[in-house]
Amino acid sequence: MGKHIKIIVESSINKKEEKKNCQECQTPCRSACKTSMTVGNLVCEVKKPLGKWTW
Amino acid sequence: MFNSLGSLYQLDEEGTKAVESLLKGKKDFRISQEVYREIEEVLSSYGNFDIQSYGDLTLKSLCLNVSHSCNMSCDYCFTSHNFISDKALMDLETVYKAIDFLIYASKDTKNIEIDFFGGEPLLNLEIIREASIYGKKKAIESGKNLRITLTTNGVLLTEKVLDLLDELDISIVLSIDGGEKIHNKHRHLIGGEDSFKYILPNALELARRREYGGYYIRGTYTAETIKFSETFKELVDLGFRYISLEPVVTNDKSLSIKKEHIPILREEYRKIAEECLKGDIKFFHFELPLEEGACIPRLARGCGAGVEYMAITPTGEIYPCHQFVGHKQFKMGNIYEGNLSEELRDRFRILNMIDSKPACRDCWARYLCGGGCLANNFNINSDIMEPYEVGCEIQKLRIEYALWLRAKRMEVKV
Repeated sequence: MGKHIKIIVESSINKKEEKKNCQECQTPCRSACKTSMTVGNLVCEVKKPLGKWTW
Repeated sequence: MFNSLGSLYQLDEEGTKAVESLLKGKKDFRISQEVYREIEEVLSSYGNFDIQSYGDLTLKSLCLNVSHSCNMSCDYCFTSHNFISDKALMDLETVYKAIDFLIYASKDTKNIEIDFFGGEPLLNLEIIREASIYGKKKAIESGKNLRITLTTNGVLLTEKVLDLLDELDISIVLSIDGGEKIHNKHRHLIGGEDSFKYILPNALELARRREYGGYYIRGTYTAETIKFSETFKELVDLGFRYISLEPVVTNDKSLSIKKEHIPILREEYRKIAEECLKGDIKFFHFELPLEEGACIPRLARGCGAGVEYMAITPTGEIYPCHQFVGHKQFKMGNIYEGNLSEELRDRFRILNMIDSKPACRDCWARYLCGGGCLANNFNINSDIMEPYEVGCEIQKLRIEYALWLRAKRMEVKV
């Protein structure tokens, strides 16, 4: 940890090893007539399986 | 400080000055080299992304438009122009074919999804029941995991219907625009009667049963209801914990969100973020998982429309997504004919890559946004390549306050 810059939340995608593409996460529909999910809302199913609900 | 990949950093005074100098393109000799070394160390921890080679993408999500009829007639509904000559309910044969198509086309992908949409899908409840049972059975036989979602206006969401949806583990998106006055402004039953009094009891029962998730209340805000943080508070006060408020997408000038609304929206999203900080309320767009988020190849492409996600109409037509339904130039095929336009699929495959859109290439929000809604681009600009600018600005505000909220929650924990 640096003296002048501290990481308080490290996004998993910062890490060099996080480059998989298993396609098991949800489809992030951006349409506002549902509820507009973005890729940023996606949970990685490998790291945290969603269970029975979509959210 | 946050970066476009969703990490948050805390800088001391010297660190802040160093970053500011780097943003101006020049190191400040008054700041010690040690500070710059620390910043460089963080920046060098990023790997190079090879986002072009993510292999063949499979279909994994189908939107089943089980009903092109609706028991409501909302002023801003995007479907009203497209479906007028095509009112129909999906039949059992079509639903079986659609699910077989999903199982087949999803190849080795384990997690697959169907979403019941319309019109109002609950007008075709028996098909929802049959499709869910059939889909789950087929998924188990194929070693897959099927999740199901339903988007409804809530009028027909009685206790008996909820019993069924609970039994089938169907996640629910229920549309309510706010308290009674705001909701009734644009959301009417066929014939014009106000709908709030019919929907609220059903929505409250849904929230009572699903205290720990499995539903979202979604509302639409317009230029007329631009101070939508008040709407958010109304929904919280009614007892809802999972809330999503969406900007209307329309060419109706009296309702559409315009550039001049952005400063107001900034304030509204800030107020909602502050409300979320006070309690355990989930505002959908502020729920960025960050540490448990998707991988870079996934973040570097968009919604998957036309490739990973498609919509099926009651007559079996295939479209890239539910918003393109009825626009014949985007019809990809028909499940009865067994054809799928590879030309359109390839076009959408490219459009889904974030680098395909010049406007996205230099945007800081790109890996948390995915490049916006192609259908919105088409509806507003008549060009799927040209981003809906106001939508981009709103998306950036949401991400900014999602990160702000996360940082604040970390402070509260400490």
